[in-house]
Amino acid sequence: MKQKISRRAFLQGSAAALATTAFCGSLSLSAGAEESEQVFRYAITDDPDSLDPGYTLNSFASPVFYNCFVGLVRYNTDSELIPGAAADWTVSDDGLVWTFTLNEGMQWSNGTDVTAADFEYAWQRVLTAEFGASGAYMLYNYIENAQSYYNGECEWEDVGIKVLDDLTLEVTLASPCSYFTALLATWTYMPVCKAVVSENEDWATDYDNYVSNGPFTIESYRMGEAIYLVKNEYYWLKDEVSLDRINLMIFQDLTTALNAYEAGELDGMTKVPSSSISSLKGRDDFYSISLFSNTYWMFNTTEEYLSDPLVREALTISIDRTALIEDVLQTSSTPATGHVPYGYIQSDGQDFREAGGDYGITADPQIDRALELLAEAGYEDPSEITIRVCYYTSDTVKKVAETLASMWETNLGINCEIESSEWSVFYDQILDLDYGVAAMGDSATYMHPMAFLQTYQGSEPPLETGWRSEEYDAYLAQALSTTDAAEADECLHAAEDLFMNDYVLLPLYYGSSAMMMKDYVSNWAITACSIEVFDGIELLEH
Amino acid sequence: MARYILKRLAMMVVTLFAIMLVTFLIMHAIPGGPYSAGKRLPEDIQAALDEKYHLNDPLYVQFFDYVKGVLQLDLGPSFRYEGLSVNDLIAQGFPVSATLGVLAMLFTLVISIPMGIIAALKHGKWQDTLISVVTTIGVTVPSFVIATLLEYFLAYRLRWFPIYGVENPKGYILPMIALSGYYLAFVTRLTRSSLMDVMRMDYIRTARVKGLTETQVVVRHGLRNSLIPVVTVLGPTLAGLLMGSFVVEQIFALPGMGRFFVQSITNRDYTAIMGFTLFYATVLVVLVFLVDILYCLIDPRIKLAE
Repeated sequence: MKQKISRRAFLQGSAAALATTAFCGSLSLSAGAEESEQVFRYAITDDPDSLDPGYTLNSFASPVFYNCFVGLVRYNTDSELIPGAAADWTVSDDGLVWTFTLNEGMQWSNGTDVTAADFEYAWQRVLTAEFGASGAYMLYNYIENAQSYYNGECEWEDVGIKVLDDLTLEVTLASPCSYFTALLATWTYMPVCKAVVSENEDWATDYDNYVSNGPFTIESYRMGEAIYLVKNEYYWLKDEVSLDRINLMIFQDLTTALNAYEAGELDGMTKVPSSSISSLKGRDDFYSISLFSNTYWMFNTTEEYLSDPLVREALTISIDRTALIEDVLQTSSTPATGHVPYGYIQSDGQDFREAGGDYGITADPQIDRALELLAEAGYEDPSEITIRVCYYTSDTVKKVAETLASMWETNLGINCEIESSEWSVFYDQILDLDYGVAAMGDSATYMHPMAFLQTYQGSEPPLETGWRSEEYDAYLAQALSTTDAAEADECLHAAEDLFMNDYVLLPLYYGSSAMMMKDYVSNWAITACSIEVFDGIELLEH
Repeated sequence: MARYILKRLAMMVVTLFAIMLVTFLIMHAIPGGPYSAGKRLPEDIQAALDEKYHLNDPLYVQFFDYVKGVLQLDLGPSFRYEGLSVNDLIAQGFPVSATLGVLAMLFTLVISIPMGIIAALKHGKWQDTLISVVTTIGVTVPSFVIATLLEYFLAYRLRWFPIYGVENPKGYILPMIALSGYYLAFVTRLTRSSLMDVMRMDYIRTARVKGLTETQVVVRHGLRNSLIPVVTVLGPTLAGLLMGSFVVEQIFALPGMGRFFVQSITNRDYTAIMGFTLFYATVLVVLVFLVDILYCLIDPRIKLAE
């Protein structure tokens, strides 16, 4: 059946194109809308790879998922985690059994009821290997027996996901996870409409029949052009939504998007061209949002010179981070002095980064100290050292690589060989430990240090730096298994200390997102995990 | 004639098969795979994805499965865009790219052939110099520069044209000009030099001696003979224009097909790489074939050889 449709679409496409009649651009569905309609037009940078929240991990889809679906919890416009589809929940004393009570009267955009079974169905789908969800680990790392089910080693009845009644869902975790609510806000945990999805596996590309439970739903999607969202009339909080539509306009060229924005054809844009940041910086409609993300460089700890922690430390502290951020990149990012970025508040109310300290890393270079370290490592003449500086094809990363190399060459007198390759080749080299220092970065989908620390766990497949520590793994496991939040925080710090004191990674800066939003757009938020909260937007007179 | 056409068609099939095979092998030889666009996934998830998209099968099995699909006009599911087939991607992007390509082709011909004629007939005079300056600029300035300038001044500053998209058909005009720039200059120069050669021929002198008007001499005897080289480049040029341009489409935010060519490779979207290459190759061989047939219509001296 599917093949038949594809073939027809293919022939239609070819026929339309071969016809010499010129213009086949069709009118947008939003054209001709009444003037009183509240339409919010926002530029995004690429087509999502899927509009199925269970399937993809790709962030281009995030404005669709966060505005069309509501998980058990959600974010409000103050970037606070609040109950979403769940009215409330209880957690057993051992921290393992979570019982969620859903709101009454919630409906899908097709008018059917949202029940606990829809959540169960959505999660079972993600945990079914044949479905091929990239984010399956977001569930099976935490839910009891979920990974066994994924690998076909147990029945669905054994998995810690139970529907007690239409409005009650019970989740049993493998170990108490203090940040489970933060995970629940990610789109991998979002529900899908069982009745529709189980009947139509192509529901997410069948835009006319797309079904969601959030403030908006997809009306239509023209690839490479725009995703048109329309208010969900069945949303149980629809009275709180004043927008009628959100048009997510796709612009791969940010300069074009900026032209359209300046011409009044857009109300906001997710990203501005990096070359324009310095000229836009002072404006009221320019925003720099601090993200829970980091940019760092990895050391290959098995390499000739870099196997010595003293050399790694010298390279780490001889970077002028302020100059890199302000002069070279011209962004508003924060210099990084540790691996976990600012933004996570510990159980004692302190920011995790501030509590963790700076590991002797400063925003400004400490050249004398770095030279001492090199001498201590036996390199009286640093020019004996040659480092391979590897990066992947990207304009920003290229600037960073060239800056780092020139800072090392000038500040320390070592030699740098810059190598660039496209991402797939680059990442293969890293996995083969065939590099010196390499560009890298992480951005978290949930607000917890674990999102950054787990990457360097020994049991994870990418041993990208050649560094591993059983002690590190033990700390992380302990952080995951304790119900005492303070103890968990301590373990996380201990783990971070382990590899930071070994200088395995070279922290550069914590991410920020430079974006534009017109002053008449009020009541919106973009969280540190890049979650677009647009359901409360009001467009003021302008 | 019929035998010739049949022979050519058979050759086309062989050519396309060879292109498919070579593309398939090169594609699998480059490092990385469809899911290495981000960081590595946990092993069991990677295995599930390989299973889902049959990436575990031996290469020859994958290739023959693919060929089987192609024979049924099914180019397979895209690895990058879940739920969409490569046919869907072509069906979405090709109408926009092809419309733009046809317009750019027409624009090129309408402008460049008269310009070439003027330059040839007035060679050495100011008209020739002016045209040669313009065409030098056209050949040397890349399309993205032309596109950016047009976009900024005519669309953004003056608002004569839409800044992006083709919802309004006027949106095709600036990309058409940007896309034509190079070809326009190229075809102008080709027409000029070819016509200048022809105009030196004895039969042109004969035509003049017979007392024909200058217009008759140029159009009937000169131009018709000088168009052969121009027609030769039309096939590949049109094929290239129809497939869309990555940069021009990106700058004007057109939902065309150009970006798929580039992105499918960085994404290691195997079926898309194969599908777009095959589609391009098919259009190309068909157009080259049509050009060959066109030759004998323009120049009766050319006979389709056995």
